[in-house]
Amino acid sequence: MICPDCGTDNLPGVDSCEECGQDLRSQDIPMPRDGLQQILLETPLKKVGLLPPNLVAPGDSALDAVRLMQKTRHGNVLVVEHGKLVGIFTERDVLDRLAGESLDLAKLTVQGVMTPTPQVLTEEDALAFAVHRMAVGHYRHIPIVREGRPIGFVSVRGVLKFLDQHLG
Amino acid sequence: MLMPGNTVLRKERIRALRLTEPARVGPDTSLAETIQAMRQAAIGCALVCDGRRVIGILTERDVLNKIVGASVDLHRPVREFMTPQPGTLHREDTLAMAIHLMTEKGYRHVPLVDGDGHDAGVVCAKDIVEYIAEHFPAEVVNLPPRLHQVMRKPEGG
Repeated sequence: MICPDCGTDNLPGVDSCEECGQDLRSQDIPMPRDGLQQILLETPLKKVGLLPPNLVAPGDSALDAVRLMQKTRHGNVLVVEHGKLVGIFTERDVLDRLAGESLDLAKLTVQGVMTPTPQVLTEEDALAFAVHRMAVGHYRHIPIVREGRPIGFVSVRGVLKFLDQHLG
Repeated sequence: MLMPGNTVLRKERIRALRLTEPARVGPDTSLAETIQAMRQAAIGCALVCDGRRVIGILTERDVLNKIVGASVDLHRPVREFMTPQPGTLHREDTLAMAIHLMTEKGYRHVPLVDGDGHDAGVVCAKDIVEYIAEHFPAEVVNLPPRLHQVMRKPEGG
């Protein structure tokens, strides 16, 4: 076990360096194995690039939400009540709940078709958390909040774009 | 800055991913049936195939932009709404290549073809994110970053 401070080669498993006394206990802890893991762990989401949120109210129509997604070319709207995030409505919801149905979208409210209380992250959280949420929950978009207020979102496209720029 | 070699993404190939089986329809399949097939396959795209050749793709973004809220007759054939001749990848291409194509073109789904140009499935942005998440052991995620920093002096020194 090489002491990271003075470079002395110590016996494996010792608690401190026999040469300089440096604490070596953390040397047994698993470390990020490659550059990708380091990027995922050390990049806060604010550096990945938050996209500006499409904000709607619960009483807005599903048609308004669809039009907003079409106009901004972002596949989600965040539903906000009294400044707080209460739901998310995405293009997958459009496919699953609206497309091909004979519904009058102007008469449906966003509240009736949204997914309530979505999982959120903060801008200080590491990229690794967003990747895990996307993988485990099959989310394409994760709202980013500051004290409960949505300030943006990260998308699966945004994550791939960041990785593409940092592939070295 | 964070510029170490991302060797995993540059070495690993698309065939290592757990790919989702796409919905497949013919060019004359109706929009209604195509949307239903995408729902059932729980995937955001349908490959439009003529025999073993992929001639187009319809994605959930196309459904959002061209179909919903736009009084479209859902009996019309998917070929009128699909993106024809989409860019393709091979299973032997690297993840870095897939990420680059998706980023450059704004795709989340790219059809895969074999050496003869025949339908070999699809790679989704989600498949790559899942690979990265699995590649990443939980014990690493649960640790604070910058473990490797070394205190030059004892605490308070």
